[in-house]
Amino acid sequence: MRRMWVVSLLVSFLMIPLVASPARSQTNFYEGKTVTLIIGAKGAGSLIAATQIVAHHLGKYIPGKPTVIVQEMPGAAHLLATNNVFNVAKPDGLTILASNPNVAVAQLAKVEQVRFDVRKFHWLGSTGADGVALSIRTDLPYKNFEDIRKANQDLIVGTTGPGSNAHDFPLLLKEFAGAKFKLVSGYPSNGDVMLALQRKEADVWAALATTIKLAVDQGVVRAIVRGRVATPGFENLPVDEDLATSSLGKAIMGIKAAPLAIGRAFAVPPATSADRVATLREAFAKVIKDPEFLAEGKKAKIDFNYISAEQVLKDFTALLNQTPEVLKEMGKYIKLEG
Amino acid sequence: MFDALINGLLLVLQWKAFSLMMVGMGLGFVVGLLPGIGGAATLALMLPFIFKMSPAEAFAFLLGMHSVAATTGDITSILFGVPGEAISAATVVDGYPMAKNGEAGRALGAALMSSLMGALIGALVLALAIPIVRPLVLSFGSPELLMLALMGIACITSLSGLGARGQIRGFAMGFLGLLLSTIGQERQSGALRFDMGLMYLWDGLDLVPVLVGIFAIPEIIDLAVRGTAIAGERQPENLQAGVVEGIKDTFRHFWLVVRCSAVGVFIGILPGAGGGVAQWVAYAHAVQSAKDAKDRERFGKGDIRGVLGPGAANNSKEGGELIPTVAFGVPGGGAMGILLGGFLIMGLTPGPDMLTKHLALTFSMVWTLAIANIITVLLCLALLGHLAKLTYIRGGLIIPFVLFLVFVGSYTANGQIADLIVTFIFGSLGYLMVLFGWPRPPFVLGFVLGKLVETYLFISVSRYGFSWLSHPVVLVLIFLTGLVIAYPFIQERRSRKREGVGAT
Repeated sequence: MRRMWVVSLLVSFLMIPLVASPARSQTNFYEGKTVTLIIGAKGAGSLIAATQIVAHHLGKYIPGKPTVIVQEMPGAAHLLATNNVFNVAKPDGLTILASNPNVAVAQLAKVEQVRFDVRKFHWLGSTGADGVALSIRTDLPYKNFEDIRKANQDLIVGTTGPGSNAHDFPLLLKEFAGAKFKLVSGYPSNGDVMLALQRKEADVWAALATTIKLAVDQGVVRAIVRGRVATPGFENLPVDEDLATSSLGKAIMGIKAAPLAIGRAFAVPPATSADRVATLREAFAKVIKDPEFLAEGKKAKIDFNYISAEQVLKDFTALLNQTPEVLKEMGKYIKLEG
Repeated sequence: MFDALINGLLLVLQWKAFSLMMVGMGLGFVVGLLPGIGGAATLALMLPFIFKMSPAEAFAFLLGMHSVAATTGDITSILFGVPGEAISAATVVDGYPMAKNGEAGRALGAALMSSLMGALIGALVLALAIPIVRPLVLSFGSPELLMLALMGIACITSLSGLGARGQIRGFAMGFLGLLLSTIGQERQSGALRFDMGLMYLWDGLDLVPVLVGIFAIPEIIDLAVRGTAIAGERQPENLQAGVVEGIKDTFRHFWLVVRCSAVGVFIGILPGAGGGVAQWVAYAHAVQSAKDAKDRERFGKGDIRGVLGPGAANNSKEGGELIPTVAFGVPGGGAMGILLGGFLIMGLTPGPDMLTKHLALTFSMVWTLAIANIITVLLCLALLGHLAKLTYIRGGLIIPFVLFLVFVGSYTANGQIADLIVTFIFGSLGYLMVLFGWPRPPFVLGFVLGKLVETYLFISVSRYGFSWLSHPVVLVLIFLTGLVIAYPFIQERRSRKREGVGAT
């Protein structure tokens, strides 16, 4: 008999939160909740670092000051995470995708495993575009792109595999701008390529502008060509699209450049209610102006610039609008990253 | 440089950094014990906390956690046969049989003491290597790394049974491991192999579910079938005495521990090789140290040397892995990749600066590795006797707990249900392997090294044609690989000759 009392007392204590919560949710939805930023990558990298910095400050600007955490969901070049947020995650404004816009290229290429439409996400905005740069070892005599075109032997380009900036940027320059490159791919990471450069095993390396800038500052490489997005220090370099000798080449380079111009964009599932989307968009716009946020970005050497949700959607729509000829040729040069 | 060494120590001993290190160590202790929740995943979870810390504090926290996880990972390997960390799998091969023989205390004492020695040697090598680190790593190009990976594969001869049958089975399993490592997207062309149309398999099979399945599940089945406690029908012996015995064993086999630590450090230095390899090569080396064929037979049945080798290697490799990470920004292993993320957040650039301007900070990392391990081992020694008692609990009570550890462990690695299915499949495979006498360590070695071999072979041939075969370091490594392959046969020949002499 006594045991029954104790058990029922315990059970009634456990019921209290269940009873209490409906009353609480009327006042403020985000209070006491956790917002999860899902990212389709693992380990290190400027995308993860940038997302961590956003997570660190975003909660301040959402009414109710929820906790914001980052959840890594690696797999299939960000497709797993993107599919998950589009289809599986609850559209209650508590799950945000920290996307890699290259997934739009996968959608364009009609990859079988794509189960989303980038135009249907509710974009919150982007924390800034990324540039790409191609660089060459400082001890080699080639000073600009013309020298590379006229080189008497193939320059060895170290890449991490098809789909990566390290691979596709030089590949397109080789096919459509006449660069004398031989691509050696399979290096496990960008760090390994830089190591190969220092060992003189490779001559040329392309990567995100921030990554190349670090190597330039260390005196390992000099930058030769850049992508469409101009980043500090690389504004005066020739753009790859200008070096292309055919309009097809220029279009394909444009397809590769578009996701980088969109940069580090954040989105919520299509079914999320309009007021939650508006709250998050506002919070996002405010956090990018936060001085502590910008300071941490500067420390990590990441350039933060606000790109509005409307602009992001516009850029995605433009990217998905390609001629059939370009679509046909694209498959030869653009694959998904491993 | 000496000032930097002392300054590094002072950085760690500041009360804030020190207390953060203790917090990290506490976390690392728990994380190491729980299978699957690995050092790497937890490091990733801890990254948000380091924003407000200074670099020395942040690395004391992260490294304190990571190095302790490597030490305590051996504990569940020995007690339950479930690898606490992916890098602790080799400890299961001899550690768990020791527990079954009622020697859990001894195995735990040995594992912990050899871990401490390994950590200290690793820290020492890291400190000494700092002046020569850059030329050292730069002299290992893709062909040299390929040869090292092949040398790792050659260790299969030492991990397999003796005689033609044993060797054939070992190599068959090794090649099976190599084959399964090809699942997923090929790095060179992006082509998908063996993915069976599943997106889950695009990145290949994940190591943790495979390891946990292939080692833990057969042991659990075995335990259920026996119907007894892990240690059998024995009465609990004086467990604390067992622990002390284990510690003494570490010093009895001192040079073996030193050599295996050296192996661990060296493999850690190689970018990309990772801890998965170091423990197996160290284990193979321990097997090679057997005096003759009969001595060799004791491995796999509960030989203390099989615990000492991997125990030392998987801690010394921590020091080794820091070298390419700090000096070049190339992660020596999965967890180091996350540490690099920490560098980025702190605004530090791995490279020559870390060895000149920030040398004190680099030394503070060395000191963290050493101090965290010393404190952990000292604290653990008191606990070990009690932990060993777990092996005397009735099987019926302990099996659900171990099964829970296994499945939670393999799920938390990536948060994917498919990992549980993989654990189950490889558990069945592991069971069949044990039943029919096919060795598991060569399989794991092939699986772990497969991607490395393929990557570096492709890059070497693509870049150098076949001229890489004549690079000086490559030639030395080819010779050493030949030695490694031949060693067991030489051993056998020598023991037969000795027997022949004895008979006359």
